[in-house]
Amino acid sequence: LDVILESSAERMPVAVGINTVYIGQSAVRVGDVQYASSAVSATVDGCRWFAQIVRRGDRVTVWAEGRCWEASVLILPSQGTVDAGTDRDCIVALMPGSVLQVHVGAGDSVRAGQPIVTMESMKMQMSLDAQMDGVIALIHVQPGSTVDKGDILVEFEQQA
Amino acid sequence: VIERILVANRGEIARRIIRTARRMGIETVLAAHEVDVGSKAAEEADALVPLQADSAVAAYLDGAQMVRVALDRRCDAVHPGYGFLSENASFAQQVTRAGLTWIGPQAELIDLMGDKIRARAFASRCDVPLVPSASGENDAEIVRAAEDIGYPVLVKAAAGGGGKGMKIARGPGELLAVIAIARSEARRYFGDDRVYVEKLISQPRHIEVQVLGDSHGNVVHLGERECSIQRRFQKIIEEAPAPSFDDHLRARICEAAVAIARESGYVNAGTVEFVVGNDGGFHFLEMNTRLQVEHPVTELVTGLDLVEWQIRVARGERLAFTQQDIPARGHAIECRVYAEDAACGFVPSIGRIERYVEPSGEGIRVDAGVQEGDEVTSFFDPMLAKLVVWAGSRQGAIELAERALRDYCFIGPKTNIGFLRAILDHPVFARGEVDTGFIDLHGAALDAVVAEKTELDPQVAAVLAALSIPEARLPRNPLAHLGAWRN
Repeated sequence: LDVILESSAERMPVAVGINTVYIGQSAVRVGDVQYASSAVSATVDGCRWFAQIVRRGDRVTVWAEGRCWEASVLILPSQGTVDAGTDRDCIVALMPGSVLQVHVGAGDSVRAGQPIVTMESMKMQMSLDAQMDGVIALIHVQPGSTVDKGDILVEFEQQA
Repeated sequence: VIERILVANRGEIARRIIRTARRMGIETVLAAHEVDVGSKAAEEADALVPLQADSAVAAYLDGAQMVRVALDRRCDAVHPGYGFLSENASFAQQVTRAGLTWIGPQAELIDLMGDKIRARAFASRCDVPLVPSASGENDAEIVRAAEDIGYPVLVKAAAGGGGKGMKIARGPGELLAVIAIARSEARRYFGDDRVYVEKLISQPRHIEVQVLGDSHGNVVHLGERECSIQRRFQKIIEEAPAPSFDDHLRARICEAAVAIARESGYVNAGTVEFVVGNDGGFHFLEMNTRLQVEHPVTELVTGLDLVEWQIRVARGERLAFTQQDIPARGHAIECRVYAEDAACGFVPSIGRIERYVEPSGEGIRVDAGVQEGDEVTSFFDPMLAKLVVWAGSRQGAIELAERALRDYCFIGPKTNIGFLRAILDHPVFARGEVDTGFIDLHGAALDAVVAEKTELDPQVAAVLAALSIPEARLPRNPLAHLGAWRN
């Protein structure tokens, strides 16, 4: 997941699925979504809303029936493996922050989806998971390490 | 005959004039500063002439240039709208001397009514009651005069209007300081620092009467407007007819307005403003010798197009109706939409209008000066638009206005839309118990309602925002992806 909405009150990871929008921990039922040139209408939890939405840079403003809401949209690079130029794949930091936990040791075999590193960034924890089955080759960080977006955290070899 | 009008104004009132002129088969030439050449008014005028000036405001105050443009473009008349040159007697004179028709009253009446002290003397000669007031040659004389009148007093600019240069002094201790501020404001806004003091009427209502005269000696009134809902002495909600207003008082106040217009030989549209005390007494305040911002409420209840009648009487036509013919049907309310932060002392708010969607429907009229993409600047008055509604009853009009404002989408600078809705929603307003102290008195209650009416539930908002963010769409395997988050 790679989009976060940050309003003055809270920060919420978001994802849009079929008939459901995931906002933070909650799944909200959404139906009959229609897009006009500049507007969105949708049934949210059984209520019909007609909204005007303006996005300018990283700011989004939602207007619906005289009510307004504003947030920043943080878009993180898609989580994925980065080809380091060898036969090794890497897990990279998706945002600047610090490493909370490293769940594996060099030489460990891991399964796709298994958590490898937990990071904290902007008061939010994020688990970086293995994208495929493999063996951990190198670990570049330890709990407490400060990393920049794009830094290689862990390299692993894909299992043939 | 009038075949081509120079519109010496901008924004919504320029559009308003263009609309009626077009309907009457009259061409319009709009003189516009470069900040306005992309405006809706510029788009709608038949021709656009750029004005040369050091500043945007200076452009619209440059009477000589306006006359030159009118002559160059072979206009035969000039409509000044409101503000800017509309109450500038020497401009009216320049226009007339250039052989053009001035769509407004005679220059000498603009001059007379523009001088508040002479205007009061004139009203007094027409047996119209005045608010007790006095002026003096110097500050000391004014202070003595204030003692006679009794505190609190209002210090006003002799050349004033629009609430500018107006200050309250509650006692002798603060009067000198207040006079100094009023003089300085008056010098800045009107180039004339004469001031006078007036008794402050407690819980006053601001009621004004629309009058219309032709050059054949006919004068009618088009009923009254209630304009008490004001912030910083400027109107934000007006209605016609005035609610909870005694019919006998209504008849007397309208007669008083007609008397002033008739005695002065007034030709064209004008407005006589009164202050009505809580004892039911009314007093002449001033006469505005132009079309008013709030003229649409009168149009909606009478069915008359005031701009059309301004043009018709300017070209020498007789009024086609007598006083008895003028209907007064239903109830109209105007809400002025300002780019301002109502929660922070109504300071103007500027910026680009990112999204603009007007409400529409039966009984809803929007006179707007702006469109999506416009930059709201600090050059001009921050009024963006006027929402005007008509319904059979006052209650119906309030509900319609509330709904229309709810549907009025502005994304960009802050607006007072939520604040206007809070006023419409207030039980005291609903009962029609309005006076000019309404906003000060109910400020805190209004602010609370604004928050409740304008804040979108964050979860709903986030869902709606998410739907519009392409990057938030789930990829092919949604579950694997979602699993990445642990809070």
